[in-house]
Amino acid sequence: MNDTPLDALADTLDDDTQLLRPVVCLIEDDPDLRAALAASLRAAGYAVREASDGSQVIGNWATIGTDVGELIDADLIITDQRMPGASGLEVLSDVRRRDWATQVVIISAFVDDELKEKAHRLGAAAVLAKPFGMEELIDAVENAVPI
Amino acid sequence: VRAVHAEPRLDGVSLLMLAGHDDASAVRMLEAGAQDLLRKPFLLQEARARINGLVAAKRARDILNDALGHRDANLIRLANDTRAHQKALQSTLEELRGAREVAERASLVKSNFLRMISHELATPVAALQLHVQALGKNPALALGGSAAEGLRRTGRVSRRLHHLVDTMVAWARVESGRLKRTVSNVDVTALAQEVIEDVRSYATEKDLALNLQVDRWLAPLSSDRKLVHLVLVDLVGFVVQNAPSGRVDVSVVPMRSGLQVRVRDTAQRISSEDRVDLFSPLESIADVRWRSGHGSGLGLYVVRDLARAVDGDLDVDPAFSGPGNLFVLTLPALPHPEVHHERYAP
Repeated sequence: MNDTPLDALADTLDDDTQLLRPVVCLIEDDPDLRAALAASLRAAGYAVREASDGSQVIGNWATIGTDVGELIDADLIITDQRMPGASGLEVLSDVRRRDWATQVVIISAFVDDELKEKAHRLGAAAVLAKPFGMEELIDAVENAVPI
Repeated sequence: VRAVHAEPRLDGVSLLMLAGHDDASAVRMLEAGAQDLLRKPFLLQEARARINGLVAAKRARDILNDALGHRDANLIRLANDTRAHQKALQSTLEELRGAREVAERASLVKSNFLRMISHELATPVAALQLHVQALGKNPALALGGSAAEGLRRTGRVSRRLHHLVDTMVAWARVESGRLKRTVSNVDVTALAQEVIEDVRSYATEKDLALNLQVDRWLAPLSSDRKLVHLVLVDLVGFVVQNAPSGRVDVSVVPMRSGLQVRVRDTAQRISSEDRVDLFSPLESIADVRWRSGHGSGLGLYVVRDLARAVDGDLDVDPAFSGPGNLFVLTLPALPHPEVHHERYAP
């Protein structure tokens, strides 16, 4: 069912390619932006799992066993910084307690040097300032996880 | 003698004591306060001379006391006046201090509100822009006619909203002194071309020719790309909005250390009074003429603040002979920081 124009765009892709898509875990508390981001990512060829709050995922990561140990079962995590429950940096810290392989992009309307510095030290792939367009989003995601 | 001194109504009256030749109490009378002593028998002339002396001394004392009394009264009045003025001044100073504190609190509340509202707008604007872009890219929708035109306009409006939020965030940071520049090599000519293409649809609608003139290749400018972009969008948007028809020419000109972006229109000449108002926050807010624009619409004084945040400046050239007006944006080269994380730039 097509909920939004972005979902409609995502659905135009071939269903057979679904299993091969990189997995993005999307954490954003604003439902409108979450829907827009999820559908934009699906339209760009990514599989998307959604969460509305950092506390939903912290300590509850699905993991997979690999040659280099247990890794979080997502190629990329996109997380809002300011959310009820847990912040994006707290999500990033929790990810880094498990592995340093999973890419993380933080999105925020409050980007400043302190946030960039902390995100950088924790190995974030990018910090995106809201508002951003589809091109900016996809550029940041493709830099982190090329399709 | 004691009885006379105890009577207030006789205060200041001189006492001339008459005593016998060997009266031992005469000395005590002088000690008790008598002014003079005349021993019997005495000559009438001596008595007259002493009385005249005492009377003259009494009168002189009275005159002096009178004068001193007036001066004292004046001094007391002056002291009272000074005390009253001091009190009034103190009270006014306290009122001023209170008013300043209220004004500073109001300014802080305003800055915080501006920062908060610009950030709160960022999330819905991002959502709107993503949804609109998806609509435009969806081949299955195959919109045509008025629906396609409506979508195009919605996309344009969402980009303006995006720019408005970016400008508000940047200006709030400039105002609060929290702006941190991210210096990189900026191709200002390419940026100007991009801005012109963004604004061109507005120019076309009013039959306004919009051109970029570049005489030769220019080296990239070390500056803050995002701030330069905001300033260019606002400046070109403002000029296009305020030029009723004719043409707007944008040129990028090298300088010794940096460059100038010159935007020339063929609109009515801006008077020297209006030129001052154009960059005044109060006039810009009060006069809708100076707020309109296809950029943020916040007024050129905001754009000048942003230009100054990259050590540049913005003005209307008063020496330009016309026709029309010449807006001059000066952008100096900024020193590069030692370490620059380009990928983390917002």
